[in-house]
Amino acid sequence: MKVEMNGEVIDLVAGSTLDDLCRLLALPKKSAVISVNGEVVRKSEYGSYVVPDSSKIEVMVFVGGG
Amino acid sequence: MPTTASFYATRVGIVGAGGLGSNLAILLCRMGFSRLVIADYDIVEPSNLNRQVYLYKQVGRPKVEALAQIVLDLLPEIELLTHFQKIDERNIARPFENCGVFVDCTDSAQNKSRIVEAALTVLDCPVVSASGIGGRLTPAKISCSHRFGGRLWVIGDQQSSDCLGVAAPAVIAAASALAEAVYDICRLRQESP
Repeated sequence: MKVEMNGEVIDLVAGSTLDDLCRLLALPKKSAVISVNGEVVRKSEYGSYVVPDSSKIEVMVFVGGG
Repeated sequence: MPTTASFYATRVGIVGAGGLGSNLAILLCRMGFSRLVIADYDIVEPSNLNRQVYLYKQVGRPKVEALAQIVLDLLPEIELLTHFQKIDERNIARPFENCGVFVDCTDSAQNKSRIVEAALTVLDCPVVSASGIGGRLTPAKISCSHRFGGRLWVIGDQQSSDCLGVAAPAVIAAASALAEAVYDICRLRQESP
């Protein structure tokens, strides 16, 4: 299936969870905030959250400093 | 400049009273904001004095306690609520549920992610954070971008990490940009209630 992540279309195996997405793209999930179709998903739910087909995903990865 | 009492009575929540949070609190007070809620679980250390507002005599005291003293010495009429505790998704609601703006002023990437995620999922107000403010020199212009449908305002280039160091000019400039974002959020709300 295809999903859109930060404006780019990517292929994802149907049934993939957000944990699968993080592994696939080597995203540092402890530093990230992710929303799917406008709703921010908690990290504790990444393992069970199945990404719907044609989703719009937004990923922001923070860097330290402050 | 808006002159309505409700504008400056907006309750601003701040998590983190380090380089960003301590400077932001002082700036907001000087701008006229009169209601602040600040949470932090750290104590003042000598290494903080190069970029945070604390005084040498406050080393060893909780940062929220030291910051409250400075703020109230500056402007005794400020309504300031402090919480000496670590904030997470389980306890963010109670201290910050009545805030009109919430500002994440934590330091590490993991803390920022944790706090911003909690704020965006639990609180019902705009959220401001900083990411990419590292470097020894003050950027000519610190950028502000909007994420997650405009609910999150991000100060910084989202790339320059604290691996580059976080010098006083840069962190104070970033705190000023956070203060400007708070002001803009309140201004936009007033123009389009």
